[in-house]
Amino acid sequence: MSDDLSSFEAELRGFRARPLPPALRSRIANRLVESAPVSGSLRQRLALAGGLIAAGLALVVVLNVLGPPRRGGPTVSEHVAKRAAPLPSVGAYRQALSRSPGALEALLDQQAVYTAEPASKVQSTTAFTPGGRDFLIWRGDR
Amino acid sequence: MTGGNDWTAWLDAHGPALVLFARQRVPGRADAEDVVQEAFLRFWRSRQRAVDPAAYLFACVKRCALEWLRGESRRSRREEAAAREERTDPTLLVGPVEHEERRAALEAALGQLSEEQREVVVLKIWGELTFPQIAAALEVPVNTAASRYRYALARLRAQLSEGATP
Repeated sequence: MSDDLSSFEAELRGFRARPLPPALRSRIANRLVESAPVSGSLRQRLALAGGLIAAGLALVVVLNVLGPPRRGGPTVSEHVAKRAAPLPSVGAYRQALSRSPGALEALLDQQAVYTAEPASKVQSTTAFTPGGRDFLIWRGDR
Repeated sequence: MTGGNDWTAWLDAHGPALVLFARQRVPGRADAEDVVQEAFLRFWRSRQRAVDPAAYLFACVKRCALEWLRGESRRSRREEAAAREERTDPTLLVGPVEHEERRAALEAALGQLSEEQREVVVLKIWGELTFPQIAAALEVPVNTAASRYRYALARLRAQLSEGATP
């Protein structure tokens, strides 16, 4: 570009564009405040809180679907198996009595050890009542 | 150079030239300020995506000015504004009082240029953009921007010389 045009450019630059009116700055400031997005950190906190709430709700739903939690200790079938094994039959008592009074006493002692367990545990078994009709049928005794 | 998250720095650096640029498209200064307001908000929300933010800012002004012109609902308002601005529109440029006559002649000469030439002159002289930035803002090749500028400047100079001749 020639020197003439360069000096002409310089002359043009001597004039300035009219400054912005304060009202326009205020309008822009107001619009920027109105449309300001939620800050990044606040958005992250909201997302974290939402995630925790969702996880909590999911846990409640899963627990309800699966039912109450299993308590410690044996199940009903385990109680029955445990009780059935050491319990002598009526026939066993007869046989023990036929052998000797000492054999019968030993068998009674064995039963006494078993029945010394807390009653609540025994009563928690609802499938059979010891000595009941169903129990005898299950055992094969009538 | 403007940068960061301080919108006031951007507005301070480019605001006057933005209004002057918008004024080349829309009839009155108040309308040009409306256009700049809208364009600046758009620019500020999406500036992170811009390769050259300064060029993008002027491009936003041009787009908003074109949208403003296309607004059918504003047609009557535009005509009213144009009539009103003829009486009350302040000057486009400011300068030393002793050069007031020259300023008026310059504004008159600018008005004689084509819209495309005026845009390039405003972006180069008062927007202080480079030719690649002007090309990006106006979406034209760099050579086109440069040649428009040279022709516009030569024509301006000739008109001002004629005006100065008694």
